[in-house]
Amino acid sequence: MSGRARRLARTLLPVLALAALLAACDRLLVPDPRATSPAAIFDQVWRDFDRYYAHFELSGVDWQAARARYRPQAVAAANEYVLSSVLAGMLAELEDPHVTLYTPVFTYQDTSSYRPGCFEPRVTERYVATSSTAGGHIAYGRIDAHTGYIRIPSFAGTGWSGEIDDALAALADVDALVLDVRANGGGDPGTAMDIAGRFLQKSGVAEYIRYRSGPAHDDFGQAYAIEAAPAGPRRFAGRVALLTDRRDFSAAESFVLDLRAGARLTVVGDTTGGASGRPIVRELPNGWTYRLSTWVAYTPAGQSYEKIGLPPDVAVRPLPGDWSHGIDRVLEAGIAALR
Amino acid sequence: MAAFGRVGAALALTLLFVPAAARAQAPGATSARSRLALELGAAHASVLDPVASPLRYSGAGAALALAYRRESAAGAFDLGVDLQAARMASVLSATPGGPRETSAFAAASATLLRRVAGARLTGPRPTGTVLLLGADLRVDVSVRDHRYSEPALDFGYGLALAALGPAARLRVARGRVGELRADAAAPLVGVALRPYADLAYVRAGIHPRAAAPPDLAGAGAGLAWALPLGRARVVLGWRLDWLRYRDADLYRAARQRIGAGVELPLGGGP
Repeated sequence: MSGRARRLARTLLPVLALAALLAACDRLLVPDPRATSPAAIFDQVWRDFDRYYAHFELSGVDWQAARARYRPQAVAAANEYVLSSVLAGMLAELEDPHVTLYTPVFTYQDTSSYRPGCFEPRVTERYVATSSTAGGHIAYGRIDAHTGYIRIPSFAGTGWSGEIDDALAALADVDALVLDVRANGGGDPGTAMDIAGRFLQKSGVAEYIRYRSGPAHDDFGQAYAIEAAPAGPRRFAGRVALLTDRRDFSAAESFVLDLRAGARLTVVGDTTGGASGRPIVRELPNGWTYRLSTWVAYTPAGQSYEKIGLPPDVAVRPLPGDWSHGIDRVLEAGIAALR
Repeated sequence: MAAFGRVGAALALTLLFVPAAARAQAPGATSARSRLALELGAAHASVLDPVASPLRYSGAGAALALAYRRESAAGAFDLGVDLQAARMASVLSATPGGPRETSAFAAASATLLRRVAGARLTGPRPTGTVLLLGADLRVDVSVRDHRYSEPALDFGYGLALAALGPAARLRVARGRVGELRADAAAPLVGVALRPYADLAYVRAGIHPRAAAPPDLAGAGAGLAWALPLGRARVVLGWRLDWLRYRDADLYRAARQRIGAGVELPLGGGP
């Protein structure tokens, strides 16, 4: 080794040693307890729900009893499939469509609250031919010269709410609008609020929210109001018939309440699904993830709509044989409400 | 009542240091000089926050530190701001759609120290060793963006802590070779603000919580070498901050930064 190389080594070695020491320092001060046994995974899920889940009082589930029932099965689980099935069984007791467990072997989501919807796209297409906005999130068309039609199948994602302005620009000369959110499973409430703002004539309280705020199942913070306000570069001031059904959940239900705060609105169709909750995603040490509901939402009258839903102003459901005869009874009722 | 007792005991212990340090800043103190320090460098952060994840997240980023330092023969007074940002990952981050975190950290501190042993270090090129003791008041704000790519979701987590505790500094000055400064401090009593779950809970109201041992434990340590360069000084520095705080869950974090910068004299002092 040349003298120059030795000098370089003498300089670098302490630096490398210092870097290693500093990295080790972090690991010592902040350990990474990665327990992945079936018992540890079960305990993590059970405890996180016990700590953060907001709907125990609404569901009436005895969570301690659930632990006593399911933990022995989890501890004895021979493989990932059995363990995820045991966890899914425990979570199913909550009957909450926002509760989800994602594992490599399957995804569990509660569907016990799903009821038949009122939307059949092939039938609706017989009434109105639609075009899609550039991003493909919104479909729009004309029912007649004075009545427009806008369909929003989902509020998932952010950054696309401006597409509603393109739809409204294309329908600038209509004076009434059918807004169809049937079978809208929800998404981002901010996106829903942005879009609702185009139809609002005034600001108002859309709903009240209470977060779980402590380790006891009935620990909740103070209620705070979600205000809906007119927003966006293009507004629609005409009458709106909003079509809803049992397959509307979460952000779609917030959308209904946003519009009720200040739009010229008639809600037509069926009661919504009844799932608020603002689910957050959490992870497990073995790489699985799950969602749990963190808040309880209330109407401006102070009633929780969890598992109840939001009733329409004009209740209409499809009758047997409607779809085979090409009849969209809810859309027809919406059009009638605008006349 | 036990919590009040712990907080009171920690506060009393900390305040023992303060009057002595404050006297060091009295008008009688002579040969005071003030400097403005700027340091840029790399940061490394590790956080284990069960509210967000059962896994430790760690990673590297950038750091910026600004400080006003006033030193006299009798003591020292520092005001500092420390900013760090880091991108962090866990063992799950390599999986498809695996979660990642971006961490932003800001700290503001005020440290008051009194010389308790060693020579008076005066003049532009002092030589000698001096030990100073005092108190450190520090406000830390840590915010983390916890992000999933599939589906695209992100949640915010954070902790703010204002804490008071004892501090110590050892200065070893060697004339033209410069000065080694070793700092240590430990939060003993404070007030913590921590949302119960993610940061959206801020809207439901956050309640400050008094924090003292054993729920609060931590330490800050720093090493800096200041080399004279005219009236200014070139500084190479390293700092470690470790915090262990428990309310509903146990939060643990360690942050390090290493960097280089300058100290510029303020005014016409020596």
